Amino acid sequence: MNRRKTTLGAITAALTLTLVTACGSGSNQDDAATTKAVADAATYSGADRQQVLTTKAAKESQLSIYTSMGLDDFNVFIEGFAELYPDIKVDVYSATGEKVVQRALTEYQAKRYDADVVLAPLTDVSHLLTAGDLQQYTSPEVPKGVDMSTMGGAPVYLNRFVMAWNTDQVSAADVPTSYQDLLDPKWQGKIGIEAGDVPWMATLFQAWGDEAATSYFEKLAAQKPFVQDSHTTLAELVGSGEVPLSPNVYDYDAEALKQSGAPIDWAPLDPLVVYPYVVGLPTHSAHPNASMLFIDYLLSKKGQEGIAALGRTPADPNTPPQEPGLQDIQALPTTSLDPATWSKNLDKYNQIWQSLIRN
Amino acid sequence: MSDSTAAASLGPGLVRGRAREWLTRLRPRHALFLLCLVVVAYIVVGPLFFLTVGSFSTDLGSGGLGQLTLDNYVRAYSDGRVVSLLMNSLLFSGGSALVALVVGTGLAWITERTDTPLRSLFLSMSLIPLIMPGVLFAIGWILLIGPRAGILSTWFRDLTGLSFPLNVFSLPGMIVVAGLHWAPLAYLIMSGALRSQDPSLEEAALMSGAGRFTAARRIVMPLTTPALMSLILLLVVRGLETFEVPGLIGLPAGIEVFSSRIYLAVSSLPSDFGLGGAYAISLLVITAIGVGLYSRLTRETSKYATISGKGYRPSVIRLGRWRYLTTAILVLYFGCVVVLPALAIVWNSFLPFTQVPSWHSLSTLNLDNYRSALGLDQIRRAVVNSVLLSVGSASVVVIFGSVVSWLVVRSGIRGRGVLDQLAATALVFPGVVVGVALIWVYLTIPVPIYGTIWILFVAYLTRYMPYGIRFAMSSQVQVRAELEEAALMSGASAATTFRRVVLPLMFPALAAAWVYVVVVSMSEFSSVVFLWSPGSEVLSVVLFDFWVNGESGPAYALGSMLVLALTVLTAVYQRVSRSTGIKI
Repeated sequence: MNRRKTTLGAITAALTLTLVTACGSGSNQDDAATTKAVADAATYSGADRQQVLTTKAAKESQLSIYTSMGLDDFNVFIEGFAELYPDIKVDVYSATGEKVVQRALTEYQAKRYDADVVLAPLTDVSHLLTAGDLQQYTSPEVPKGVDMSTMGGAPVYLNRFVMAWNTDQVSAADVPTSYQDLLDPKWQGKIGIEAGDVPWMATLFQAWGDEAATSYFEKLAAQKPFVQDSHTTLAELVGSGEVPLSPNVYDYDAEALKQSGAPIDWAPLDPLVVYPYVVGLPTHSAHPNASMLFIDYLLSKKGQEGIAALGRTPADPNTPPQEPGLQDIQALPTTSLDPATWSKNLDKYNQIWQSLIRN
Repeated sequence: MSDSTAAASLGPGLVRGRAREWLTRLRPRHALFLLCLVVVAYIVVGPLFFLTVGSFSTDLGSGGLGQLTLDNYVRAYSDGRVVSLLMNSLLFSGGSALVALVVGTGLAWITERTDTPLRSLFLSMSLIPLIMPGVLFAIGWILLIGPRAGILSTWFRDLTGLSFPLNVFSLPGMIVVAGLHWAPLAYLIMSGALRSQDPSLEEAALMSGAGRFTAARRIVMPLTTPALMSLILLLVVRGLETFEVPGLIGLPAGIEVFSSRIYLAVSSLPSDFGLGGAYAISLLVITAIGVGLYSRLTRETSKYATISGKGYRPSVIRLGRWRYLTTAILVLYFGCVVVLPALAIVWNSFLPFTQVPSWHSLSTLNLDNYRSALGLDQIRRAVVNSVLLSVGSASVVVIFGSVVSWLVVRSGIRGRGVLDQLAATALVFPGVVVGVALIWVYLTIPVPIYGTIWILFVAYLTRYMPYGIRFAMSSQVQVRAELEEAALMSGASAATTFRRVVLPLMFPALAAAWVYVVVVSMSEFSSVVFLWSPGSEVLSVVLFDFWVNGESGPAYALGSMLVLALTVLTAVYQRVSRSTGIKI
């Protein structure tokens, strides 16, 4: 009987403790101190900025990065950063841009602040910006003329949507050279579309106006496209011939497959839609100084050269891409989505996409 | 005056007295029951709570619980496509269950009850198909029978000039691929049921002049009803909940089922948890009906008790000339379920890009994919974590499942049905729902496992505990109560009886359950993708990471190594089990 009482007592105590902890939410003072520390690190621009950041980052000694870049590719930057700051331990959570941002958003709603730096497509990061979870920062490495206020951070690299086709399945003479060409009945059932490319569609809405774009996408949907998750997988399906052609392939995917000898070729369409990947600093980053050092590094000459070495297009116009195909289209005018328009019309675009493409 | 009001009016003294009286009537089994109920409730109620609340809430995400609304259900069902969604879901889960059931049961009969050549070899390889992760299996079949560039499709077209009769990107394609993937599960359960069956009944039928197939149809099959019913339930529920085939094959082809719709809703940004919840609750209702039917059908458990106090060995049918046909069936099955998809993956793991085998493609073979796959720190951690999680969760799930099944089937405690129903609820949580719901749960309640490997452990328990219970229960009802009663009469305590009589009799089924959970959880993906953190990577996550980030080559390489490693493990396991006499 005694033992039973003790056990019951212990359980009651544990439950009470749990409830008390649950109700006693984190104090607001701590919160304010954290956001102030983040703001300080993000905006300090004194002459001794580098020194101040380095000293404080050494005390933080770690950094947690949420990124949509694959672990294998991202390792390049972890190693590069470790050469500069060997005492800062870097952890990485990697998933698709949507999942990375979704996780950060959920954590922030629950007042859990694990993400120090977020690197993902602009259209995903913009959700964090809208939720007020991003701290604007300044960095001497940001190229002149970049307006970070609407993006939530600085662009790190750029993906461009190009028309890619399987050279065994599509003859050179037949290759569509415009978006309109894709509506030719002969392409019915042969066009691949990436499943989450609402931002791509939104960019074309912005470029053509709602009426023309709606009519275009209705006709495109009537072509019964093959809707594939992941741009890279889509590119590979074009390379293998399972999908004969797609206007939704990333330039660097198509170029990499072409370089490796796959029967694939690609060309830019007009308008050439560009998709920036942005690095953001969350408002409650627990290691803001280390975060700023990492952001500096990504945007620096070294970091941008690392991007180029991965076969992608660096955001800094002074660091050209390495692949010949990417260099060729470097000078072409591009169209990108205005972040404000995107957040404002998100529901509308999602609905159009759901009803036309993804069904 | 009812008891409670009387107690209230008479003050705390009496309540304490009554409580004490109640406590003295408690037996250890009641305590055990309570403990199990608490554990199951803990595991199931969290996700269920967030699903239910989410489905009736305007906006779960905005900090609070939002306002009460039916809008999510209205949105879910006012959509013009809801009829085709329901039809697709039922056709897909029913169809794939049927394919798996027919294939698995047929094979079980061939290997357990006939003298078909190669059956012992087959038996020793029968686990291999289970270990191919669903993602790899689906990809393998896309590579094989994709209509334009599939290896088999291309060869068939080159040979005959016709297109391959089965397009993987269609509802029949989805049904066949999923059905084949689950056939090994069906085989595992049915061969266990056949093996532990008293053959004297079958022999009696044969003696009375029934043909072999009549005996199989009228005696063997009815006797395996509990196993068969729980198998059908498992298969249909898996078919409703699974995401691999609907995601990889269905979505590109525009064929949506409930699970892919839930996935789309929950994983969109911002996540539409309400809509996903509304669909998930609909799924839960469908499954609850299924589970209800199942418990009605298996209520009179004594009817199916075939492990009795009598000693026996199952008989083997001599097939004569027919055995060449059965051998051919075994070989064909093994080819479809293991060799072809595995070869498609292995072949592509040596290629820089996807190609149909040809003289030209031979010259492009290289080891680059293996180099990238092995060059990653996370892989080592992922291997360790995956093994720890799979073995750990399988052990807990099996032990816990056997206790729960004993409580439900034998203990006679009032309210045991609740335990059964509650545990079965988790069967239908789609993995992606478990993943997102657990984030909510552990960000809300102060149990500090968020961001650690323990939240993955809870996810695995949530996903696989119902399977452990189902496996254990279907074998429990086959064990006659007389054996336990004999032990109790001879003076053994309940615990000793459980340990010395019940567990050993259930051992083959429990071992099968353990192996099943280890193997399946090794490739658990849909819940884990939201929950892992640096340091708690698992293999499926790294695999998928390669896949979506333009590294499908390394993904094939890692997949090939995974299948190879698990094959070797299975072989070792078979060797050990043969020398120790432990069989599954």
